[in-house]
Amino acid sequence: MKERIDIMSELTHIIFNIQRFSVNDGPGIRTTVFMKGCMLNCLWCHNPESKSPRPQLMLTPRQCIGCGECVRVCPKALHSFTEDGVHLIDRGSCTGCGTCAQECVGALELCGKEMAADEIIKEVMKDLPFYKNSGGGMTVSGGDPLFDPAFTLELVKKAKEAGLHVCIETSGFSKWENVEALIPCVDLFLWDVKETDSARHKEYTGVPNELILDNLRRLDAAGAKTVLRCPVIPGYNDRSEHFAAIAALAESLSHVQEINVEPYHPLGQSKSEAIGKEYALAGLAFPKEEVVKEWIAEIQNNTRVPVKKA
Amino acid sequence: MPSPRIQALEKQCARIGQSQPESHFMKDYHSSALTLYKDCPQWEKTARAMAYAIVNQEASVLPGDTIGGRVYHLKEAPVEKTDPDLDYLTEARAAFRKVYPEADELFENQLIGGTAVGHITWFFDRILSLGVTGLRARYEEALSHARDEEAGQFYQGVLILLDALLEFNDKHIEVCRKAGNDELAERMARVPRYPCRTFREAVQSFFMQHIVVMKENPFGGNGPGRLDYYLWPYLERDLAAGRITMEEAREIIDELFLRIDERLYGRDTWVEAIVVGGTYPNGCSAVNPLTYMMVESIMELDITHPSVYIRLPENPPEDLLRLSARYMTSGRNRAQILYDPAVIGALVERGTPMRDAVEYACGGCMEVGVQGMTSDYLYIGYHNPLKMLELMITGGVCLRTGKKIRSFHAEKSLAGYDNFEDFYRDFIEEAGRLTRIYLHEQDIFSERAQKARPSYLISSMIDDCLERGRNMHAGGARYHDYGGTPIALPNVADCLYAIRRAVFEDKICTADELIGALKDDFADCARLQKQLRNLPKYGMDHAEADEMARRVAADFADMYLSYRTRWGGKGKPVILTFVYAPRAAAILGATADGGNAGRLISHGVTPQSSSMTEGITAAISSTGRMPFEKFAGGASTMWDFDSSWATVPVIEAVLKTFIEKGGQIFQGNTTPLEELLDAQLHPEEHRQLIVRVGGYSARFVALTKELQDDIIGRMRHGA
Ligand code: SF4
Ligand code: SF4
Repeated sequence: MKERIDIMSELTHIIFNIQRFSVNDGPGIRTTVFMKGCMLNCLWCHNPESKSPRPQLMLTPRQCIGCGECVRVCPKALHSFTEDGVHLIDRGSCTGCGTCAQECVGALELCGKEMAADEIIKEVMKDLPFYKNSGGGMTVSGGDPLFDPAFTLELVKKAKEAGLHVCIETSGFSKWENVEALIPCVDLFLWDVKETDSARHKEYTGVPNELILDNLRRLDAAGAKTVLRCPVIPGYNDRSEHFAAIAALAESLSHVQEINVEPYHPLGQSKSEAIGKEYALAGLAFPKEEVVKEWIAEIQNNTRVPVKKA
Repeated sequence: MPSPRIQALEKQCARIGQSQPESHFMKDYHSSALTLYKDCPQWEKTARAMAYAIVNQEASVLPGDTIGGRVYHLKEAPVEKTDPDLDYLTEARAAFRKVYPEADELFENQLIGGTAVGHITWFFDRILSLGVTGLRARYEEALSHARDEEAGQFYQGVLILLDALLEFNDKHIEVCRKAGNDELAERMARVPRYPCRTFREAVQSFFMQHIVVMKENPFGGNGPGRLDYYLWPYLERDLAAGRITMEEAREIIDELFLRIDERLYGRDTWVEAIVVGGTYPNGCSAVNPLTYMMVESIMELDITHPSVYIRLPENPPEDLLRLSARYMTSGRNRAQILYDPAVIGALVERGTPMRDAVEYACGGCMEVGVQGMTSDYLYIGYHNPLKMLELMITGGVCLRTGKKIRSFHAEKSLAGYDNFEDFYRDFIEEAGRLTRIYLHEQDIFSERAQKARPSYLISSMIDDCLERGRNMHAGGARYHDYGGTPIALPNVADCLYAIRRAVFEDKICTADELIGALKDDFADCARLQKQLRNLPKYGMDHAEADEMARRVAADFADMYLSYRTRWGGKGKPVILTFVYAPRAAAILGATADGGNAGRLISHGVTPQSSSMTEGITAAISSTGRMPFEKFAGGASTMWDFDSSWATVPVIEAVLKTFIEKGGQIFQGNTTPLEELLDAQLHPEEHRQLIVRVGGYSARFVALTKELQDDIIGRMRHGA
């Protein structure tokens, strides 16, 4: 599956972003650690650069000043410009060495950096005073943290040792043992409920949802707190039956703190282009504010669990 | 929602404010000096002419007023002929030019600034507790054994002005009676003449002395200071005696605030700063129910004066923190929060004893000074270290005009240095020389003010004028400090760090290449410009870049703190940007951090907007490394928030962390960007929109396009 380099028997993982001041990924002010690698392949993915577990070269043409440094320095000569100035990268042969990105003034960026858990914790600890004053902490997101359960376990253990409040944001598509192991070190699971109909779940994300829902039930039975995170994509899962099923699911569980409605946003599009991939939902627009309110009301009608926009 | 009566008063305030009657105050002042008092010596002429102008103002009381007294400032009748004895500027300017023939060039290049008059806080509580009669008695007594002729003259001047205050007050009593407002007539017959017995009397006594002082010192930027602190004992007694309810008290405060606004209506840069909350001399919290009431009042009123600022004591009560956060999110961008331990700490570091330091207030935007003990140069103006750095890099050549600026002393350009430290040292040395000129300018102006603007009334409420027998500019004030602003320190830090890295350490470019690129405004140097921009900056929580910011800020602060003023006071760095960003931009060339010519500078010690890429927590962590202990005049920060996440709990946590990191002053905006842009397009629909400009709040639609753009262009912190 993924390459792993062990430095002094310490686990590492490719991290593509450590975002300070996150206020939408769990309670309070948080730092969110985005891990690369995902088991799912959602049509609407807004972090397409997170899917692959390897470092990836991202190009933002807007930032390119045409200096040609990348052409000069790439050891495999993978950069070229067409006559009308279009920047081409032969991505198939790219090793992700990052040499070109280092020379570039901002258009090229190597997405993903290998980090050990201690390094990540050190970065996360920078905002400790803000967590203390807001009830915040660290959120591990991705990609999917369960893509590399061993590393994630080590990371959350260290976070707990450091006294941090820990959230995990996951699709939940993993062996139960992997989920179970995390329970003692995680204060709150941000659990994706992308689609309640399994066939559609497979159509939209590449995998069915039985395992995910089964894990969620077992997690709840174990007393773990959860927030159900529900991306709503117009034309895909904005159906009344789905909303009703979300509410029913929350009602059937005992420790759901909140349901978050995450209205579709097309941020994934430009990022797909930056890594040279096509975007499946090209052209789909932001849903209107009133529509989002209707979705929320529809779910809220059938459950006592508070429903909020994330 | 304010009560129906207050809502009606709010409309009245706007109506009168917008169509203020013409004032003939300045005209009376000069013409009486030229005629009635032409043969008096200067000390007496200034006193009598001022008294004449005060007494001859119209006494106006409107039906429904429960607070008496109205004066106006916005339309002064033209003064045909001025008396040179009262002119405190012309002679001082000439004297300054005589010492510094290059004054104009220094001034045009913002290497020195001017002299802002006003900016003062005074002890009005003396009149509340002693009455004018009691205060008068002290001056009578002092006069009877004045230590020298000058002291005798000062005391007599004070007596003339105190009598004028009473005479003007007494004119109102008749007017009230005629209007059938006997209650107010009785109150005005009692105060400010005698000590106040009730809250209503205290408010009346405060307001009457306030409007008269503001005529004597008719300049923008002043501080009634700790109004909640001085009024609370009266309210506390009334409440205990069952003489008043909190609701009634609130209506009085509402009315008072409306009247303060009416006087200066729309002149938003003339800040009237009230600081509420704060600390007792023993270090305990001085927060009282009036603290909360005054903040609640201003939050509900649609006015831009007074500026109500919260002083957070050490370990602030939770509900005061919450109120501060609520004031930030829904106070229509008028909130400013000061943290006492950081501000008081800087005053103590300056050499102010603790018992005085706890009495600090803001003399306008945020200029920190000890209430009632500091002369009125709490704020003098600004000069531009970023321009100094530009000239240092080029060897004295202005990047905008290509002209050599001879009054800036640079033997060589950056290309003449083979290491960063030498360059830095020479820069600080030259900046220090210019700062001393700037502060010396104030000494020269103060010397003239001592005679031509003795300000007897306000001096009578400044310590230690009584004991010393001198007005505030003649050595009477305990702290004769000059507060001035070296602007754009974060920009200077980023440029210096970029120079060190790009030219001396990483050798991204040579000094000549850098100078060439700056001269061309990076026209053909896109790559170099991006490389400079990509270097770490102050505001990213980057230890080295932050250290540069700390170092340069500390060095500039020391230039101020090491200066001794003519009466033994000090220079005080006041770090804010106010309305200066567009003015500075107008003369600045390209900058070594990769900025183009004419870019707007940062606000106070807030990192540059373009540098805050790591988010607000990183930016606040960087800011926390600034040497706040040296900012004895206050250092402000400006945080513009994306309204979508700017909830009370989040702002509260941010604010709490900010003060834990030693930050002094917190202000900002939470209005959505779209609303600001829409207000530019459809100003008529957004008359109510108030924004924080920098030390003051103003109606957005009344701002210049440049200042509107300054606000729009600032970093919006979102999640
Ligand atoms: S990352 Fe390395 S191999 Fe890939 S394009 Fe850049 S320089 Fe070439
Ligand atoms: S190095 Fe960067 S800026 Fe220069 S040509 Fe390549 S992509 Fe463009």
